[in-house]
Amino acid sequence: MITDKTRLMFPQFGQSVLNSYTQVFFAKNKWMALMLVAVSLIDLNAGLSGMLAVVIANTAAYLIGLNREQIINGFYGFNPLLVGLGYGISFQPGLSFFIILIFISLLTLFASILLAGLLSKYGLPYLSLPFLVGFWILTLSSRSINQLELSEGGIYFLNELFNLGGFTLLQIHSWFEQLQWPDIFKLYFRSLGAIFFQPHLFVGIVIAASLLIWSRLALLLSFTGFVGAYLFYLVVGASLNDLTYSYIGFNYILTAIAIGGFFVIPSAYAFLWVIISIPLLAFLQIAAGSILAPLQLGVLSLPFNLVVISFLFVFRFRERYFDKPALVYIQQFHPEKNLYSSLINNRRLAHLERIPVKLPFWGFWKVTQAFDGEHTHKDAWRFAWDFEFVDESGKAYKNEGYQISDYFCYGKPVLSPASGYVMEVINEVDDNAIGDMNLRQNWGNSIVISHGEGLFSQLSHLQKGSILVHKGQYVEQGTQLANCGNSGRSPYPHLHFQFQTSSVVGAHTLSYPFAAYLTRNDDLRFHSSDQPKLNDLVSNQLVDDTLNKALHFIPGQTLKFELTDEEQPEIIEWEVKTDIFNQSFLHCRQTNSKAWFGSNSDLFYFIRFEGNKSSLLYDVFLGAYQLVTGSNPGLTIQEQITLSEFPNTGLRILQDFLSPFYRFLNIRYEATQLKIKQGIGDSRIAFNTQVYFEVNGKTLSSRKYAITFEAGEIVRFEIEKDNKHQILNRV
Amino acid sequence: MMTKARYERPLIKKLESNMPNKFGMRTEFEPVTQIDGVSVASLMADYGSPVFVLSEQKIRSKYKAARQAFETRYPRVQFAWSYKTNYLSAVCNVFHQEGSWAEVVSGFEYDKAIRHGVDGANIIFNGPDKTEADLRKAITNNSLIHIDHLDELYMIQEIARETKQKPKVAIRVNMDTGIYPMWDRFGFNYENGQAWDALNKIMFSGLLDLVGLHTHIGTFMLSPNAYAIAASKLANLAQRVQQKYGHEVKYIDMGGGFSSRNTLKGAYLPGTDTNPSIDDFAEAITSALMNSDYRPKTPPLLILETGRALIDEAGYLLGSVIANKRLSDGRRATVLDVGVNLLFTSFWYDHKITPAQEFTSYTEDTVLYGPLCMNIDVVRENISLPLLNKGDKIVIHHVGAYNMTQWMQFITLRPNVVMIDMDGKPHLIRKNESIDSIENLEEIPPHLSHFEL
Repeated sequence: MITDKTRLMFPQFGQSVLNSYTQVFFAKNKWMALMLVAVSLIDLNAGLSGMLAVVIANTAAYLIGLNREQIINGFYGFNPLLVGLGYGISFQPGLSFFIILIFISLLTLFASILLAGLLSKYGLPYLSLPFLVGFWILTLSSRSINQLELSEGGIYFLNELFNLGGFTLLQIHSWFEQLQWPDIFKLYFRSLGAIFFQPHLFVGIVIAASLLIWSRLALLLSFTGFVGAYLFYLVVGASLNDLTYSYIGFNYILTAIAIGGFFVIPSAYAFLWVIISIPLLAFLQIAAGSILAPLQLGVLSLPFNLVVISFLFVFRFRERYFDKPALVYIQQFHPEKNLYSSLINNRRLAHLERIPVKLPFWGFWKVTQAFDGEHTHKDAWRFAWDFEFVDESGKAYKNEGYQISDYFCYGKPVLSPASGYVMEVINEVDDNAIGDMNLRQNWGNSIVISHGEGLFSQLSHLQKGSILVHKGQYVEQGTQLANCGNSGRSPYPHLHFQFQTSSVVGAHTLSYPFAAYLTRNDDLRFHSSDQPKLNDLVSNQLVDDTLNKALHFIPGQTLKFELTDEEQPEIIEWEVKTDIFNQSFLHCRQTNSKAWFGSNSDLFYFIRFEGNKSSLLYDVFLGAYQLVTGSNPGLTIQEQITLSEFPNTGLRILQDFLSPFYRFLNIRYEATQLKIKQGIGDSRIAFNTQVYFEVNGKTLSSRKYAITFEAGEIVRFEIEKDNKHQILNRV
Repeated sequence: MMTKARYERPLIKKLESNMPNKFGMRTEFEPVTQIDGVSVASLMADYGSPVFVLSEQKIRSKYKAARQAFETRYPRVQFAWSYKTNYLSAVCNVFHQEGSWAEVVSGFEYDKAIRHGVDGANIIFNGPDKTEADLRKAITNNSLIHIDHLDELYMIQEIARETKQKPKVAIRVNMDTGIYPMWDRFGFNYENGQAWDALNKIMFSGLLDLVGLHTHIGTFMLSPNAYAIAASKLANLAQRVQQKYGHEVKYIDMGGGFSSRNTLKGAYLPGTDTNPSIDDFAEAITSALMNSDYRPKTPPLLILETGRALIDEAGYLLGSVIANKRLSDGRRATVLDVGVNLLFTSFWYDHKITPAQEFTSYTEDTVLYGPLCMNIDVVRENISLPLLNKGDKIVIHHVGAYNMTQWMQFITLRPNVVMIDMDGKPHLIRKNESIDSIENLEEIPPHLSHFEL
């Protein structure tokens, strides 16, 4: 029992320490963390003091019982780290030094929790405010503590280098110091180093390298922020002393990363906000400097904290729907990843935050009036659709069309688009003769349903006396509500459908998407979270039992496949698991890879992949990236895959730098459903899917997959990549 | 160019002085000179007389209209082409191209469907006569077997036990739907509990996979309401199975029997005006299902085996006048080269018959006889037709169902069958029989091989 627990705990503890280092830059990256740890240890005393502070804070957080995930992410560790580093730089080690370190770490931890409590209700981060609290309290109180001796480290830096790495390190350092670089570069690197209280060129370069390893955009942003500040100081004629002497320029660096790439999806707009932040930071810095000077306190990262927090608060206050720059909702601790996945998932997973609404009829109907229609869908009522049934030749009626019963849609069932409560029912308006209109009771027989969260739907012009539901009744999606009719302002039978904001018949309309539907105009198309256009032939898709069952993975289930390669057949096992965020994933134990997936009634899709990209699970992630669960032979769907999956590292690094402005890489996914064998309970359905890695529209490489489903299971998964053909057969 | 005026024989008609009736003076002889743009005369010139003509365009449009009628009223619908209605391969394949499964009632029809390339899982095997060999084949092919009687049930169980396969079965249910005559010779009765008993036997045995319920309440039905009753009774059975065994029946097969546009003998008004449309049947069946208590997670598949209503109107029989004569009672009689040997359905319907060339407006009541030397060979007992001469051509309408499967090789040989494709191009889909097609099957014992007269 105990060994089990410790086996789990130690790696997690290690992670929590390393993440505490990278969190200073909003990152989570092992290599970056190791570089930062190394760099912090150049001043051995400060480095150890910082690490000790992290260990103390994280252990305390664990013992107190704070959220485990937060501790592992380093959220509670990075402020104590900064306090520890600053403390270690300033004072000589000793017994009282350590006693104070323990408690100042605890104090910073508590400040973190307190500030989290105050700020999180506004959706704001506490950034390095706890560090400021901790460090200022320490600075102020240390003046009365006689046992603390000021460190000479800052003063005799070369001595320390010599002690640490001998003559070689000293030589390296002096080589760097003598470099004939423009001042701005030197200043930039020193400012980077100053974040870890070591404003040295060498330290700055290592930190910059670690930023490059983690995120190209972060490096670009940091430089942009700093150069912007430098230019601003030159232009307005502020004293460059601030930048050159106290290396306070790191405020610009951190703000740029935070505003340009971490809390916000990187974009040209985000860069614009980075530029806007520069003068504000400068004012705050100068102002704060004069307020804090009498107290003999450093400004430190105060401007960065104030600016970032106020910007985020401003962004959250936006009422007009204008999401530029867009805020990050699913934090992946990586600006490029946030950007790449938002580019695709904002559209692809849009259905996740929506109520799943289906079309209110069976079969393919034609949209005869859509948004901003030519007849009645105008102004406050512009977000509405009229649907009619037309036959193969496009006619809406048989015979001459003089009788309402000649119209194909007349008397056909009208269904509940989503589950909800019936709010209003009008059932006594007469059906009009063809061509006539009832302008007094213009909505005709109508039903309004409340789907919750301020979403109502209204179905109008229903057949008199056909309504099967009553006010207050709860209806499921797909329940027949009434028949299509010709009452109200309806010259010929059709169904009027609109989403609206209240339960009143004829309320103002609302632009809201249908969860999924098919169109059959020239060819069959699948639409997810979309809105039908004028003249579209639209239908709900009929979900196929076999696909639905096969793609419904139950947590705890194990998928077993036999890999038939040239060599020995191998058994591959994937387990279906769920994490604490209620997200499901396939887990490959052998390679410790995870592929997160999601599904709704019409779609199965993978969301992201973590782990070994040469594993077969990665191929499943790519090959079954998105599958439609209806039986629609011949249907092809296209999707994009996040650029983080691009296999060519060189190209991807180049793309990373350009990503907010121009994207020349693309990963295209295409899935085609093949002709199916359909029977009762034993359908056989196959998909051919392909993933194309494209540069400027030209295919660099591709992978092909064939997936076969039968009797409610995936029976076969074929992979074709790098001239290799692999077959996985279900066992 | 001057054409010679047609000769029409003189006609003496009694002047009727009673009240004019609401049907006026209309006769139904408006000439039909072409089918899908192909002239009747050229068809008969190319393929002889008589000749059956099928319109691919009519078949497809009828099928689409039927599908539309059901699919706009119910989410999951599947048609299965009733082979006995017309199992010419070209016809079956039109339906299969449209997505229809196959519904067969004998080993022969089953093999024919397989030969057409229909997957075993898409064949519904109905009928009272399924041999053990048929059943073994159907079970191996995963076909849907609709059990007709207990003896068949036992046989299937026997095979299942022996071969360790789990056949997919449904039972055929007969019931009182308020129509006469009630068809109770097929399947198990609903009212007296036989059906429920058979379902229990299937469920208890655990040997069979009960996938559906089937009924076929009659033929040429004129009452959609009967289907509503049948659908709710089947749904009730399905619901009881679900309640008792937690087992979901995956489909409900309503069979066929929808009337076409033909007029039944003895009907007062023409069938085109009075027979229910496919929409009427669809409305009755789907609303009964929607209102039933059987509500599994996914609604059961609704299977329809309608044959006649989809093909009858797509079939034409073209023939020629052999002779005119007057009977002893003074009635006019016309002898055609088409008789009951080809037009089996003339026992059931007063077929619509039109001339294939222009006439004056004068008509005469006549009896239409076929070419057989048999007294029963009457195509229409009384029909008002223009004054036909020997060699004139006529078109018999709505003959697509049952005639090309129930025709007789009797006295004469079976003629060509032609299908006009979507572009108006005729294709021969069944060659006329020759003496060889009959004699090739015969064998003469040596001692009978020659004779002298």
